[in-house]
Formats: sequence, C-alpha cells, structure tokens
Amino acid sequence: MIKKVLLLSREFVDGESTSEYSRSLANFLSENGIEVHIVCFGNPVSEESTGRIHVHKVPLLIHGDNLFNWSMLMNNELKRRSREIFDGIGFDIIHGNDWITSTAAISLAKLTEKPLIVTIHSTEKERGFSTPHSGMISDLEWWLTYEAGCVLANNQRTHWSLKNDLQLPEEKVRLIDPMEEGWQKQVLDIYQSLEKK
Amino acid sequence: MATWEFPPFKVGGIGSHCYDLSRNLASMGHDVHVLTYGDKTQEMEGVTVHRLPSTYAPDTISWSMFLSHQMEKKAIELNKEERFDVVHAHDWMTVPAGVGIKKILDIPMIFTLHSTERGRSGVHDAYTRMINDLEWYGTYEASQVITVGQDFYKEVRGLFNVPEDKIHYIRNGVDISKFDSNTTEIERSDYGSDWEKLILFVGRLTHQKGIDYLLGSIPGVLSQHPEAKFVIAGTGALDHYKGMAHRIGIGHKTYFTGFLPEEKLISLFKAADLTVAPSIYEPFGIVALESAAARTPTVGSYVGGLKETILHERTGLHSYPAHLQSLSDQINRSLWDEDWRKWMGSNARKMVEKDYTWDKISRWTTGVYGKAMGMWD
Repeated sequence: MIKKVLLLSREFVDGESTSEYSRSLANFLSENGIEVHIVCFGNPVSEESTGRIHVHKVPLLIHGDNLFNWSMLMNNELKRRSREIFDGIGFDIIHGNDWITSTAAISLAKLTEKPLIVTIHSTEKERGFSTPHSGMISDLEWWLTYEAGCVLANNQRTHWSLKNDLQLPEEKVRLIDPMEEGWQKQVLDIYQSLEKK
Repeated sequence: MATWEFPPFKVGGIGSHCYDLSRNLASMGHDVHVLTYGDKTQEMEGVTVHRLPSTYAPDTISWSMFLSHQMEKKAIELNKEERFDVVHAHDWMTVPAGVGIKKILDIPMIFTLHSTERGRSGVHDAYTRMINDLEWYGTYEASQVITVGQDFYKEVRGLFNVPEDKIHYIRNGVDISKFDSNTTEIERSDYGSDWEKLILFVGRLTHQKGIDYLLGSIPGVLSQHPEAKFVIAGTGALDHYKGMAHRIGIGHKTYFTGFLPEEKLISLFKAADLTVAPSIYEPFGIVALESAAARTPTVGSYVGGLKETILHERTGLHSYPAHLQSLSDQINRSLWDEDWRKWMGSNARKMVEKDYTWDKISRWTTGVYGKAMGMWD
C-alpha cells in the first residue's frame, strides 16, 4: 500500500513543464490519500505545505561553471533533504525526473532500497547533443533508466529514443502522455505494481 | 578515504600520502576503505582499495564529478555491511564525493588540502575559479579541515575564511623503511663522471617548482664548482627546459631523466651529494624529507613547507625564493665542505626519524576524526 511518495524535481515553479507535471501528479495522489514530498532546488523560504503535499526546497551554496557540474553538486542537496525525510517519516517510492535528478534518485534508491520510477521528459539525443557534457548527460540517463524499475516516456518521440538510443528493453518503458485524461491514475497503478515486486 | 590517485598509479604527492596514511590507520586497527579511480578492487596491506571507473569527459572537473557518483554508490553499498564513521576527502577532485557521501550517509566529512589552485596555477578564468570554489566548498562542508604545512595552514585559513576550531595543521610523513630496504642499483656513471658531484632536483617541471631559477643559477655554481652536475628528475615541460639549458650553455652539465620509477629515484636520492628544492610555492615540500631519509641534505627556498622541512645550516640550507644569486651561493656553500654536508645529511635523517613518522601522523589524524565525530571539543 503506497502511503508516501518522494518526487525529485530540478525545480518547482509555476509554468515550468516538469514542475507542472509534478504538481498535477501530486494533486491527484493527494486526493487519493497519499502524502507527497517534492524535493527540488530553490530557496527554502518559499517552501510550501498544503494538505498532503509538502514542497522542500534546497539551496546550493556553490555556483557551478556549467549545468552539468551544477547539477552534480545540487543533487547532493536533494540527497541530504530526502534522506532526512526518509529517516524521519519514510517513503514508499522514489520518483525521479530526467537526468538532472539522476544521481540523487540512484543513490537514494540504493540507500533506502525503495522502488525507483523515472519520468524522462526528453533525452539528450532528442535535445541534439549540443553541449560538451552531452556524452556524460547521456551516460547519466542510461544509469538512471538502468537503475529504475520502470521508465515513463512523456511522448512518442521520447519513447522511441529510450528504446533505440538508450537501448531500454520494451517491457521497462511505458508511454504515458501527461496531456491525456487520467494519466495520473496510470502512474499510481505503476507505483503499486512496483511496490508489490 | 576518497582520492583520485592511489599507488601504483600516481603523479603527485596525494597518492603516496593516502597510501601511507591508509595502511598506517589499518595497522592501528581501523577498517579503511579507499575509493579511487581505476578498474578493480584489491587488498593492499590491510586496506581495501576500490578502483572505480569514470567516463569520457571534456574536462577534469566534470570527470571528477562523474567519478564522485561512482564512489558514492560504492560507499552506500559498503555502508550496508558495516557503518562508516567518517569520510575523508583529499583535494578538490574528491570534494563532490566527500560531500555526496557525507550527505547521503549522514556522517562527518574530513577534508585534507594538499595545495590550492591559487598557488598551483592562479585563479584567472571560469575553470580555475570553479576549482577554487570547490576548494572553498570542501572547507565549508567538512567538519574538520587538515592542511599539510604551517604556512599553508595560514594560507588556507585566510583564503577560505575557515573557522579556527575546525582547521588543523598535520604535517606529511615519510616512510623511512622504503629508503632503507631499497637495493635498486643505479649506474652512477649514467648520471655523471666519477669526479662530478651529483645535485638532484625531483619534481614536476613547472614554474611553481622553480626549475627556471635552478637552471639560471647553474652558471654561478659552475664558475666555482666545475665538478657540479645537475640531475633533473621529473616530467612536465621537458623540451622547454632542455632547450633553456642549452641556450644558457649548461646542456653538458644538466641531465634530464624524465619519469623515473620510485626505486630508482630512491637510489638516486642516496647517490646524490645534494638535493635542491628551488620552489616558489610549496605547501609542504616532501622532497626535502625524502632526501633527508636518504641522508642527503637539501638546499631549498625559504617558502611554505620548506621553511619547516629544512633547518638552515643543520639539515640543509635555505635560499631566497626566486633569487638566482642566493640559490647559487647556497649550493656553493654546501659544496665547499664535504664533512659539513655529511653532518647535515645525518642530522636530516635524525629529524625525519623523530618528527615525520607516519605512526605519529596517523595518531594525530585519528584525533581529528574523533573531533569530527563529536568525541571531544
């Protein structure tokens, strides 16, 4: 029985697509009696707690010289806050979003031995492999999807890229389009099936 | 313990430091796991060494970030069998690993700084600033910070504003037994003629190590001591400095060995009449101690750690940093009097036997671990 979910997100702000995805999912889970902890980068003064949804924002005191290095250090803060939540009240499932939460998602799954589910909003290959760190980002995507019990693709294109560029086995990838009615229920069903495993 | 290099793979002093520290801690009964770069796990003198792969990376910072995640996964796995008490990171390359392991396992981090980017190459662009920032971040996140020299302690405290109650000075040590047991033969005639006196330089061939000043001082030595022969052991800008030696007209009096395996280097320390350490920046200056272990005195710059590892006119001689005349004067002084030189060499040996043993240094280090764990204030 899923009671508490940990959602990892790069940020949680209005209008940003991963934030909106997490918000919509969190609202649905909350309406179904599940407590949701969203851990993301941000200023802790803007933390919010409404009903069963708790948003934990973690600051990072060092500026990275590029997105890759920044994310690697920021993930350490995601790990710390999530571990504190786990030590305090626990959670039943870890839900990561994209490579930018990968090292936190992987390490937390190993530490807590809780099931890991990952949503890939787009792959580095789809984004054009356009930075010097694209190879490493793609490696992280591979590790993240390798460690996950189930990988959700948001659209047909990403679904294809996960299977072909990252060589994921068919049965591990699910296409769940957040533009479609009732997608959140499908995610909850996957949580429940992963927990039973 | 997290370190990017560990013997037999090493380029600098961090690898040797971690090797000596970890096996001494193990012999004191501590359970030590080393996390480093490479591709297999092995037991080395009571220490479990986990060599982990990284990935292709466009630069060293991101390479170390990726490696840090591999180290952290290994630490999580090992922690399930037996809980770690502390994580000990060395220099900026393992700061991401140290911080990550600290935060995921909720254990205190100890951070040893062996040198700073400001001292090595200067902070002049986004890349070197990031390294400088990582060094600061390490001192900020660590419960306790260790520096390897007295001057260097002040440098780090000032540079990163580290509170006094969490920063320590613990000197480096030297493994004397390695010098005593070494039996590697070298052909002295490979390095100089019978009548020549061997003057040894060991280190990376970079400006920081003062190799420019050494070459510049050589004519001043040869004018009084034509028997001097300079053996320069180390890699780096080899062609550049060979060219410089020829332009100065001392090509026939300098011999560049390139990279030398440790056993040969030890034999060379023993065979040398004198060691020189003309560095302009030197947090610790292990060269003077290695030379001392081989009973060879050192002429070194009065800078950083060399201020402590050489006792002027007792275990060697100090020269002014970046000062050609001073350097050639001091080399000349030591070459005049063979008995004095031998006396200084034997004093130097006594000094390392007394003050620079790993046994002592390991005990001080565990004291810092205890402080990080809250065992005492």
